[in-house]
Amino acid sequence: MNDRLIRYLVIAAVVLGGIGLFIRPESGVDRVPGFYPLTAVLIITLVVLGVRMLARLLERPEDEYDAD
Amino acid sequence: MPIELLPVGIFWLGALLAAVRHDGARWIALITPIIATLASVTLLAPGVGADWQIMNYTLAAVRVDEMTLVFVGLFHLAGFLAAIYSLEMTDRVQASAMLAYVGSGIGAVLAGDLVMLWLFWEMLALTSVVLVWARRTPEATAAGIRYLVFNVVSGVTLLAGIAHLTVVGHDLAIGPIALDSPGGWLVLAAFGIKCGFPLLHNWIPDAYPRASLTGSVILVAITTKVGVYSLARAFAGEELLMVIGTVMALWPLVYVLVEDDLRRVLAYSLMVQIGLMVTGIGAGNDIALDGVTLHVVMDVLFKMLLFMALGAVLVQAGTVRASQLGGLGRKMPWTMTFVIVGVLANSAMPGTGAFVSKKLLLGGIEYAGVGPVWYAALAGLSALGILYAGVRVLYEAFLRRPEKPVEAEDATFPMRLAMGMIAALLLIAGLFPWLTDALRPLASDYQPVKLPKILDQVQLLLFALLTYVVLARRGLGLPSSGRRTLLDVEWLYRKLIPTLARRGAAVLGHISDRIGTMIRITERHPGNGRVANSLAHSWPAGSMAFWTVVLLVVLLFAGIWRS
Repeated sequence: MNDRLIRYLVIAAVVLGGIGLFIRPESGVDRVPGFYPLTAVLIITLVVLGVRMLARLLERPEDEYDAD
Repeated sequence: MPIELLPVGIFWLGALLAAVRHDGARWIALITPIIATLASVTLLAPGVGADWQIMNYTLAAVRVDEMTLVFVGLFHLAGFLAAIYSLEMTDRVQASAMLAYVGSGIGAVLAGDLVMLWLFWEMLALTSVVLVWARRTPEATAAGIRYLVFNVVSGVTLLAGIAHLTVVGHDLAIGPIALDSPGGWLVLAAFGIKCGFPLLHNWIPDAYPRASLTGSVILVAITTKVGVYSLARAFAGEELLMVIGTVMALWPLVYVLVEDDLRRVLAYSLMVQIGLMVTGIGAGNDIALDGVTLHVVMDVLFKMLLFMALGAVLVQAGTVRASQLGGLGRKMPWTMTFVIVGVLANSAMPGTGAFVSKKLLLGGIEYAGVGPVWYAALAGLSALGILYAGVRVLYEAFLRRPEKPVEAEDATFPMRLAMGMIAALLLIAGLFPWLTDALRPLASDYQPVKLPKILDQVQLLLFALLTYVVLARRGLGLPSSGRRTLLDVEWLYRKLIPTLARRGAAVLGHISDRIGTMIRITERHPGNGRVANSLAHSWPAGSMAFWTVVLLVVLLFAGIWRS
């Protein structure tokens, strides 16, 4: 991955995350500050790691269904 | 047939003409949706209804309200866009089947009662399978048969449900059905197959990627959406659907993130979006149902766009396997531009119509009282959208350096025109969200586009991308793409059951051989006892008939005695 891309992503995340702490919806379960950044980090981490594990379990050679 | 079904008739007439006219089929496919749209605009309006007398039966052939009109309009548009996309294709089978299929879809959403729905339900199955077979490969033929089995089972289940509802005195008009009788459950199961409920879903990723180019583009627009429409009509507010929908949205994640065939990735991602819609139907309030309707429109648009783009890649590069693609961005710049719009819409990025529809849908689900974890799981699907559409389709096919150079040119002009029109619609709906108010049939009072929501969604996508980049740099990214099969429920009927059937047949053959051997032995030695003697003779037909009658009489008297 390009280092410059990551730097831009981090800067944008810090800026938007900072603004997002103050501009919140008036009601709803997502009004807690940091709800969406935390959701994104948790979901991506859990799903990517889970998928890596599951893929090993579910993976078969390409000709698995050749019988039909 | 009532005049209100004229749009359906126009599509079917167009299908007939396209089937017999070899050279003009593609133009007929293009003109038919336009004429049918004119007929629909003239004849259909909220409140319109028409009955159809067939012998002594009266069927509610047409019942129209605001939600019906959105779906009818969407199917017309989908047929028109698919016809533009395939303007350079001269296959009259595809053109004809597509028109008949779109007409059947429109008939299904216009249906005023369950019997009419069932009629069009079956027509939908029969016409759509031709679009799968039109690819004319052995894989497409086999997948088409499996597709047909699932859809015919759905039709038979629906018919059984209708029969039971009739027996218990339930009204057959399209409307709420309670899950308090087997008939209600059967109808739910039939709708569930059409929507691709978990465990009943495999026909979608099996058939859609193997269908013809036009086929896969139009298939994503209609079959499952008729299922969603029917579910919204009959089971809105059924809380069970919130659970089923959430499982359905999360179930395919492993496949969308690992599959090598990018059209299969899109087919699984279709299930993610439908899962979200099913959850919204389960929520059942006006906001959620408006969200479901609007999201159906947006989902059809961006899924058609992505399938069209991958169809163009398939034509140009000869494959849609991620492991064999890369670097197409420079060779197919127009297609990549449209894919970027599709990826942004798939991730519900602000500025696209999908942001409006998804926020509306999530607003309705939240209104139904889901907890923060449940809500986060559903909202987070957008974050995953950036992975499976952004990283898998956009990055792997267009941006990364290929292992071997891929020869390709950009999509043809009709393909670019169709993709451009869809991209424009998605952006217009996102940039001018009030235009989408007309697509909210229940006119709920909820504003999905507000500054905090826009900011939240951008944060979600940005942090998702950042998290993935960090994981990938640490060697914990998605597994590299490669030719492989990922086991799904289809393993049961494509591997386990055939294996068991073969072994069972072998055992039965063995038993049959042993019996044959015994009979031959008794035939050679007929005097070894009375039983052996009787087995050794063939019985006359009259004797067989006599003993059958005796057996039936005994059963008859046994039945009378029991009653």
